[in-house]
Amino acid sequence: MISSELVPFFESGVSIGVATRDADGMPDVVRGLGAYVHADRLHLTLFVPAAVAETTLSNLLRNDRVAATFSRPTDHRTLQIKGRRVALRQVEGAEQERIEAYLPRLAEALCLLGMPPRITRRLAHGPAWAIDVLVESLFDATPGPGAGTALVRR
Amino acid sequence: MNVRLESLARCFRGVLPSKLATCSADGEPNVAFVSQIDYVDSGHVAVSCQFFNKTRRNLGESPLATAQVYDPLTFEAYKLRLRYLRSETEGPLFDTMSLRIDAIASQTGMAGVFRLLSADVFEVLSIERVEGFLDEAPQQERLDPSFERAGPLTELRGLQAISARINQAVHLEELLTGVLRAFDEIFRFPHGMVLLPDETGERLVALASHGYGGSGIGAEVRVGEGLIGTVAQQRRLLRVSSVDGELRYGRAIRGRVEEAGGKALAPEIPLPGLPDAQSHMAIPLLLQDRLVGVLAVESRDPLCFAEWHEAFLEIIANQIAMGIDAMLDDGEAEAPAAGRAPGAMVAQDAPQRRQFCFYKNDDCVFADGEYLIRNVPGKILWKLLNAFQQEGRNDFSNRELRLDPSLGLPPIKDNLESRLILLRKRLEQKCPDVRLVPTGRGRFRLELDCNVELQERESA
Repeated sequence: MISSELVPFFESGVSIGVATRDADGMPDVVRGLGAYVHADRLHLTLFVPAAVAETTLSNLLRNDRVAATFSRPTDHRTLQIKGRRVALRQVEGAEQERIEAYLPRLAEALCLLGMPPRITRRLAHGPAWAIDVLVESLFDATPGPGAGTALVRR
Repeated sequence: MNVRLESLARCFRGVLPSKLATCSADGEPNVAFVSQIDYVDSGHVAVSCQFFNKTRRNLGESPLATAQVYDPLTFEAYKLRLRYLRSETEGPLFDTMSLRIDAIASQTGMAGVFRLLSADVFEVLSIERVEGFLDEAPQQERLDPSFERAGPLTELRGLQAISARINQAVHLEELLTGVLRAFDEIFRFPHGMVLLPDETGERLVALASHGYGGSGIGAEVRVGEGLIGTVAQQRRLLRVSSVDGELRYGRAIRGRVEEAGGKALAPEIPLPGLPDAQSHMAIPLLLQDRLVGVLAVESRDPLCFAEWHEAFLEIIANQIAMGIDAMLDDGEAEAPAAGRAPGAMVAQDAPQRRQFCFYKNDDCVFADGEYLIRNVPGKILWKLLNAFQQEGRNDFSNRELRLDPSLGLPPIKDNLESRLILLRKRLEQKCPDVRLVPTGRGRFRLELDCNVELQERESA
């Protein structure tokens, strides 16, 4: 279960990488477009832009394993979740608003590194897929001696 | 889509973190943010392994990996399919990567904690640009040289500022002076110069200087000699801090007894330098393994240059090298407009008489008994002056210079543009009444406000 104090981190302007793999063991990674933690704190939904998620989708249709890493650009605080895809669907209703709210937050963080918001704003963000994930484990992946510490294990 | 690894140079500079996906033996994916992926050669990259224990464990079990890298200027994304080959814990690749990480670590007070464990080498199986990663840019969007928002100086901001200068420069001279000016504005490096290799590749010639009142243009440095020459030879950045009188550009180069010849050579044009400089830094400008030039800065502040600048400037040096190279390729680039309109060839009231003497043994031109210029720029000047005196011709083109075998320009990368800049600047400094005035793309006019007398001698 994801502890309640970590929820805002997952939903903030963090940089997100979503990893899947194909039948030959070739991993793939795609940039995420935000995420939110469900009320049960056992599930989490990831958004990925349809324009670049073809491999991710075909991987997830054949294999439910998924990993996602969330890293704050300004201080590199990083968490990684591992879990299983329980649903793969189109973005619904208010979820599109979450995506729209995520991008300016990411742009703000990247701007502190010097990436102009006018470029960040161009990250492809519609249409998007939603991946519902059952979180099985959670790791602190912040660079440093403690990297890889399990916060939640299945 | 076929993308060459070399064309992704900016992505391998550690400006934006890359994402690296791996997989365990039992098929569980993992994704790590990697501070830097390094270019090794056209078929290999290396990843710095510091803390990514899970990534390393996975690679031992299942060698396939995918990296997503980003161009820090355009934010375009590229996907590299990789196969892990080996982990190096010593050797040149490890040393290069370690140096950068140590620099960053010491800058952030993490020396010893944040260090390179190994350089993990991968074979690149395929490269693709991630189509659709970014939406179309609004029309005519250009890099804005002024930062969009004030903020701390970051690698990205510096890179953007320098890149903007490079992109806006329409000719080589503007590019070089623009870069040096940007260094002053962004880093507070008030004294700098850029030197480019001559046609022999044995010497570097100063083509631009900043903070020395324009002096030193045309100064030569032998490859291997002094700080700048050493940087050119070793192809490595050198930083010398808190120097006393022992290390001076001038001392290292001027009056140096040549070991081979055993006689002291006083250069015709001294390299500019602060007599009381306390720190120096020189950076090789490289494209793959080709030396495009050397950028040298110095300061009276013994602590002006930090490790962080090294890491930072290596990123920017690559950008400058690409800019210079592109300009050298464009032989027909628009030259800067001179301050004067083309006027009469010889002014009616020109009592001034200049004597030019050409020494054949070393292609050296003296004006009124004083050294002016040598080698290819010397031969070019001699050709122009003779054409003027014998044929009354004063309009010339870059193309005819390229086609003249007596000038000895190489067939490709002929550096003609930089030779002409050097000649024009030397004339401005030493014989302002003899000018090369651009008259259009790849064309220029020889303007004389004096009468000239030409002499040729075998040797001095």
